[in-house]
Amino acid sequence: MAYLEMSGVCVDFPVFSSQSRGLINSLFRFERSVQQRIEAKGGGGVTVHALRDISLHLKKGDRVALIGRNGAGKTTMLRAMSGVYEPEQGEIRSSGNISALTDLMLGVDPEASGYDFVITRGIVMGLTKAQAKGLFADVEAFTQLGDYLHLPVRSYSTGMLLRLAFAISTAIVPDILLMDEMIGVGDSQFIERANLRLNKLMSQVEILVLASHNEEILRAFCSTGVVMSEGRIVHTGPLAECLALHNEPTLPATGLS
Amino acid sequence: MTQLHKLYKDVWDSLRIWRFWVHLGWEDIARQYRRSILGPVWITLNTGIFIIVFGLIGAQLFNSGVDEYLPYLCVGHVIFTCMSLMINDGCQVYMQAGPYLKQAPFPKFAFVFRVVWRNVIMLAHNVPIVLLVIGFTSGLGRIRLDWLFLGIFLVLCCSVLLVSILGLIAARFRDVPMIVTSGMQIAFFVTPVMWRPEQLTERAQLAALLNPLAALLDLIRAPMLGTVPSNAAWLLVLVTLVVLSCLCVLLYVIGRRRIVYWI
Repeated sequence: MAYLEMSGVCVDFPVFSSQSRGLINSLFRFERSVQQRIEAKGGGGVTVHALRDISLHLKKGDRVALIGRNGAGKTTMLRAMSGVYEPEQGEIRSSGNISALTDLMLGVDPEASGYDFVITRGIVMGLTKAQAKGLFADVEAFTQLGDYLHLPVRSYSTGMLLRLAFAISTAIVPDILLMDEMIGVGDSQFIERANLRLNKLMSQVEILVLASHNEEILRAFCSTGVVMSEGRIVHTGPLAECLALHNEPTLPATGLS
Repeated sequence: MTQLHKLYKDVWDSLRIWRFWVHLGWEDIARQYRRSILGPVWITLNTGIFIIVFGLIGAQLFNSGVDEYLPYLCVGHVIFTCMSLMINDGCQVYMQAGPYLKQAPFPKFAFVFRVVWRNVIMLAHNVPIVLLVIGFTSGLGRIRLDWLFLGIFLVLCCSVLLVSILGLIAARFRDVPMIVTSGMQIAFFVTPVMWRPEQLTERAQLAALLNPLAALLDLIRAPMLGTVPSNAAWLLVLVTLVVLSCLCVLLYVIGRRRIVYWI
């Protein structure tokens, strides 16, 4: 049974750049909310507190919307959930295989054919070459690219490449699905078919976490919400409640009392 | 789980997903050739022409017979080029792996293996030349296969360790690739690739004797030319292996978790 638990997780990014000294100087001029997230540390470096004290328990059947302004920490949160960022403090535990739909174009080589792309991504997802070839039929049916799949990816239009990348990324059903921003491009026919495919995929996964600014999409797929701000969880609860809070003009910077 | 456990698990997981890095390494090479007609033959041709031209000049320069100098230069040059490319490439391991490492928690050593494997494929391009040159000069029958396999194994171990160490350091300190590049240019001249240690004064020979790259080179070159590597070379390679292993464990215990934060 899939679950995902985060307790007291903090993710800090060290920033090393020749400009960081200038940044330390200008820290004094930052407003308070920013100061809380960017901190000068010894030795001339700067630390950005991307996630602060995150505790969250997700169990089978959870459909969670991750809500927050740009830079609130949504993507970092998804990456921490997937295990990419091993946290400085706190603990992340999970069971079930996790798939993150964040970078659709991962592993694409412009000179390779569409079929090569399917094989590469299949192997990246942990399949054997034969199993990856088993995805061909599904990808052909969804993308309707026909003979284009034999041509180099370079010759595809943006929409065609998107269709292909989307088809591959959604070909395998994980236990836990993490998604960052739904695909906005593509013609209306594609969006319709993509939604159908996503619906099928999402109904099969045990836990879904979706980060998006599109409330329509969030309402369609999620039942609960997590509101983030300044790297902290500000509120968790039913989706409608979270969206209402998010839409308030002044979102409190720290936790609600 | 301690960081040491996690390192152990990382290496083990990396070996388990061999399909992943074998494919990536292979794709890295295939990518270079997708629109080229002669493809891999270019590299082979390049090396071949260099070896023949410099072999003829060098034999006169260093006052030895072409039959003797050509195979020495050929094996030395091919192996050293491979090591040099691998070391330079090693600095890019994690910077190149960025998109993958940010997508899913892949074990880090998978990308180290990818780079080593990719460079082994590059080396394979030049193997026909080596065999051809040896076949026409010192003779293929003289190759000491037993020592050769042991040598290749030890060199591969050193490569994995070195690539993992350089990759981690270079991910954090971005000046390292440049330092390594210029270092390897100098290394080419202080390592007995074109010349023989015997041609140096006794004091200078000592320096060549303490050069780990020279020892690694000897481990493969000597058996290819039908002799056994010197005891000093075996010893130096073993010492290098121990030092690199300690360094690797130390660095990964401290830094493995942080790599993703740096890239």
